[in-house]
Amino acid sequence: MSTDREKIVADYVINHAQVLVLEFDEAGILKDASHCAVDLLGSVIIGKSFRDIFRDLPSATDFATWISALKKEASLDVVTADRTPQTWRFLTARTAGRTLLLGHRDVTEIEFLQHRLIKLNAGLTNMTRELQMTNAKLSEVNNLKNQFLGAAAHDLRNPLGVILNYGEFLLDEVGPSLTEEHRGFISSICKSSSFMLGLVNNLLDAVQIDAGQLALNREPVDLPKLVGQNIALNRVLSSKKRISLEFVSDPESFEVDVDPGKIEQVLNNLITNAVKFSLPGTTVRIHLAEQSGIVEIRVIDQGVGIPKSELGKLFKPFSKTSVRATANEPCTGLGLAIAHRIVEGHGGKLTVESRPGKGSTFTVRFPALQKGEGKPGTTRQEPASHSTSA
Amino acid sequence: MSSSLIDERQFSEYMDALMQGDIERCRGFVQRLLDANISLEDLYFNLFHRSQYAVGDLWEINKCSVAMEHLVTSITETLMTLAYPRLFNRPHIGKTAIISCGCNQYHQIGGKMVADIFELHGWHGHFLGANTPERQLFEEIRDKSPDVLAFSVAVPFAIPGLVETLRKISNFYPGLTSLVGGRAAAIDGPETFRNLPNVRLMTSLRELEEFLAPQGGL
Repeated sequence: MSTDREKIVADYVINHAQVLVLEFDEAGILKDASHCAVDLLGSVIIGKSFRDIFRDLPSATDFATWISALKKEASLDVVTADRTPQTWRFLTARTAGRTLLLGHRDVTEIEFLQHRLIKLNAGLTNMTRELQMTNAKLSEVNNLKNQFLGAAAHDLRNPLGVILNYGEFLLDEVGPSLTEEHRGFISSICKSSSFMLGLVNNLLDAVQIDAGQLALNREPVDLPKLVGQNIALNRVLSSKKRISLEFVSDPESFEVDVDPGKIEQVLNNLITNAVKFSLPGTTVRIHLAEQSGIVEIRVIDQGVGIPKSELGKLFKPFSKTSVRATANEPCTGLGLAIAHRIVEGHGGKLTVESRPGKGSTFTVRFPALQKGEGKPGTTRQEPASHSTSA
Repeated sequence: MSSSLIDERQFSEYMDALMQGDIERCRGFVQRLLDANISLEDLYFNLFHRSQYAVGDLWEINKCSVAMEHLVTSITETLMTLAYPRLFNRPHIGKTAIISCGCNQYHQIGGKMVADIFELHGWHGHFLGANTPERQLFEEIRDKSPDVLAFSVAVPFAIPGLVETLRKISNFYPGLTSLVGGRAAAIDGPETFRNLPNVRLMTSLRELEEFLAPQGGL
């Protein structure tokens, strides 16, 4: 190759080619570098030691010893300007008291990695496809389950209603003429069918909610009046267990836009639960408040409480805690799940705080649409600790 | 198919982003189309399929490197997943297809598109992925009892191996139809495949659509 051609080729390699040309002196200080090297390693590398340029070097080695130990062609990791390592294949050469390290990228490795990445991506997209297919099948099965449950519950509701009605009729009409034992039998029939009817109704609700069919018929409702009426009905049950129900509302009258039937369902569930898990002689307090556009209903009992470890599953359908009702009343495991969804449907949240042996506080919060002016009421008490959210 | 939501200017923009390997731009483009409620048929035929063939044409005339073609394919496969929530929530007609790329075949995107076309027509389209060993293929046929098989052949050297597989399938499952498609099948193998028993050659995705339509698709 002529001197001119050598110069042209050398000039091209130094200034344009994607190769690293690094020229070190005897002490291993970088004296000159190709354009590509400066771009990759940073403009400040001129004057740096070989230790600042290459990674994972033997600690006590000097430059001359290191170079002589290197194979003629070796893979070395360099430290780039953005502090990421890159592997290059280097040839070493000595000329006029200087050591040249000439580096090129190992294309084989890059191509291999590229193929691997593409293969992994293809595998990932295939898995995504399978996952979506499975999700669609699961959704279909879930819909079928809901349809079956809904149909079954619907078909059970009427006969159960008949059993309960006739049972109560018998108790009223012929009960006085029966023996105590026989009255007990009919009473058991009524209790069991009442429980099953409640379960079937809850099941129907749960299925509808699960199928996304929670339909809210909102209307302006005097909420303190609605809650007060509901508490009056629940006193029939609570008085049998000698449990007091106390109600405080602040303000004493205000209107909100809710589905009254569904809110009553929530209240029934929370109050009957509070009574179920309370001991005779205790008090269940219901606090109702509206402030800054938020309604808050708190049902506070002095009952047996719920262990912290079980609070997380409280609002899941068919889940029951280890805590037993104080008079062994039956529980379906659906009431709180339904209440939770109804409150969510109103744009709110249902939360619980509880301490075993001290009682529980269930809190409903949802946005209010207040019409008319409210009146101030008494201040509410602070709840127990160990809160958790649904 | 009714008129496309994708005009030539939009397609050019998409191709530009695709050839630059700009997956985020491409993803934004596809998501906007999905948000505009583009039909999946329009998306598959007029964007994914068309862009893949365009890149394949560029590769054949050396205007696109192998590396770029692989990258583009990888991007397209990733973007197809955006359509899956809609694709798999369609009602089904009770028919099943198994789609395979065949043994030693690593170009899977054609087969995957075919599997998705089956889903668009209400079939269950089970895609077995790239490089399906013959044994696995026969196990899947035994387990899923498909109504039809489909094979995608992207490269000519895969044809002899596929022919052997098709002969075996014909012996074991005489009544089972196998569809064969893909660039290599259409260009290098039409006579080969047309002479095989129970095998139908599909020279394009449109031909597949025409085959599926009378089967009781959507």
